[in-house]
Amino acid sequence: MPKSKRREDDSNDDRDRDYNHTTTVSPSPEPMKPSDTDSGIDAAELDRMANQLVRMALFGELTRTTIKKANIYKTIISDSIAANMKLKTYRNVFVMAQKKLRSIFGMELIPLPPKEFPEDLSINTTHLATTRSNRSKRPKRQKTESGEGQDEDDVGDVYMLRNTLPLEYRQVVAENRSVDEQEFYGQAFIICSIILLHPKGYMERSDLSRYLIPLGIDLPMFDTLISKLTSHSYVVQQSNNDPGRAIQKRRQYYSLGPRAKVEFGDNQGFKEICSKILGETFNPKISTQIDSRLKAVKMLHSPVASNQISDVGVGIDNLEDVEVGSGDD
Amino acid sequence: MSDTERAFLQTFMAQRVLTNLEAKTCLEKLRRIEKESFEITDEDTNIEKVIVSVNKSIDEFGLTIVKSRDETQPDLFHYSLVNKLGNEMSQSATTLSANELDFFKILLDQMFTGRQHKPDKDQFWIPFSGLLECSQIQGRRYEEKRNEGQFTVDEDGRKVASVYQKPLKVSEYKALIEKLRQESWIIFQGSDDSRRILPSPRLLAELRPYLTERYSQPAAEEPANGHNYLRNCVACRSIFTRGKQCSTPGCPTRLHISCEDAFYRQHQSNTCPACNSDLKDSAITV
Ligand SMILES: [Zn+2]
Ligand SMILES: [Zn+2]
Repeated sequence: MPKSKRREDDSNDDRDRDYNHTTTVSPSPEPMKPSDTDSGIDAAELDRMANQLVRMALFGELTRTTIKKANIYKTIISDSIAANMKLKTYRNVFVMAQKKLRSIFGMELIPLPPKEFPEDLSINTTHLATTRSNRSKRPKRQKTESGEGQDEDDVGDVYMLRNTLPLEYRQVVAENRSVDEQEFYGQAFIICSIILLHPKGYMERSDLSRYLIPLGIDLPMFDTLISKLTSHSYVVQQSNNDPGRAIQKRRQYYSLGPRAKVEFGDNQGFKEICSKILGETFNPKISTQIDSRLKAVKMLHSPVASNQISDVGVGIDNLEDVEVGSGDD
Repeated sequence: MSDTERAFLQTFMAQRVLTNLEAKTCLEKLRRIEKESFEITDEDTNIEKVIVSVNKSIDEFGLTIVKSRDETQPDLFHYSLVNKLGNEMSQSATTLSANELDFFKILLDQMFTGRQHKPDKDQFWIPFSGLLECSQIQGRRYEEKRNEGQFTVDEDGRKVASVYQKPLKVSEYKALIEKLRQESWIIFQGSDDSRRILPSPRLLAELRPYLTERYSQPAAEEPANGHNYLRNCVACRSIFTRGKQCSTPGCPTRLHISCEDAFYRQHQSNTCPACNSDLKDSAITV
């Protein structure tokens, strides 16, 4: 990065401590706007970093990869920024990138809901409380009624993109996906629905795979699919590796993963698709059942604020209690 | 940006390439939602206008939607969402791992300079069986590096290549080829045993800087047999991979089928601008 180099070269220059002077050493060809007095970082530089974050978010989404705060720090927040200004810069960059994502791409960064397993899981999970402890250090989410853009940067350290377009527009985009992509998305949806509608909210491997045989998904296909779903955070896999059991007797359980909650957590969309699948058998009773299931796994978005940031940290309040994510990424 | 424009852009993000027909159909659907009516005007479905507006908004992220004419069908156009920072391939093919990217580069080398190109006949497609050769090349390069000792030793005392990418296994490169097709980098033609792998409109649009730098030579430096290098269509100046090749040995003239008629009309002749031999009837179709 030419900029940081220059700063090093200038290090015995007493101007170096005056961050307003970064404008004079910046090689950016853009005409400079006045410095952002709040952060002391040049506005054009902030804009450049925000654009980089937008690119990172968009390209990450192509592979359904989450974005880690640590990675944003490492690759985007310029080395030329003093350590004590980095958090402030990060926040400004995040807010700017979020604005651009919403207004231009119809997307937004949201904290990844935690990987959690239903609390009534009867298998022994104590040994699974693995490496999530760093997450519990996070400040608890504050729920506000307005929900408009508050403390987004404090909420989580892992993000994914969520579509902010109205449902009907999203459907047109979905129709235009490639055949393979539509097929995968359809299968992901069906598997997540089966898990969701199961009374326990999680399912054992052989139970789940049995449901899929009528859909032409045999065991080898199931294994490929489920590993893809796990790696993209649609489902969370949990194994009952009770030390007393032989390896081959260990069971795999699946529950809904963070991405499923974000992508399918839209109550309206979920019900619409269920009604399409069920056809005439879809009735108000089933609709109520779905509502209560969604509530039980904390997926139900409050209808008044379905587009607000306030309703996306589903289940985050329970973080400390749950801590059972397996194989954290 | 309106919701229609955002959704139109999202469609490009997901699809990478849309034909003019697909783009129009998509825009029609979006306008009907926007206007809450089936009655839409020609102005509503003016693709070019929407793209100009979208391009203005995405320019600052190094993205742009470009239009290219199909190499063979005159009324077919492709709109590709292109990463302008794509002169380094890894910036564009972001979904590939390092050794997949390495294989992809070898595949491109084979397509654009492989020995299927004969002095008197270009051939920018490779048969499926050609993948084996790509894999062998990757393996050979890996071995060479190993013999040169470009290795580091890991904690368990095993030798690990520090410089070169481990060759892909058969199942891995087959999966990669499928991925490249899904991401519209390559297209398949034919079926089963006779399947061919061709460069796609997205590949030619997005990797144009890479391809030009790597495979095209200034005219003066062309080797005597002059057949191995990338050329542009004499009419539209974009990369040529399919169409007509002048029949004079070594003549650099290439002409897209889709550009042909317009070229003869404008040129007021059916002859090659370089060597004057007849193009319309005696050029070789490749
Ligand atoms: Zn042409
Ligand atoms: Zn000629």
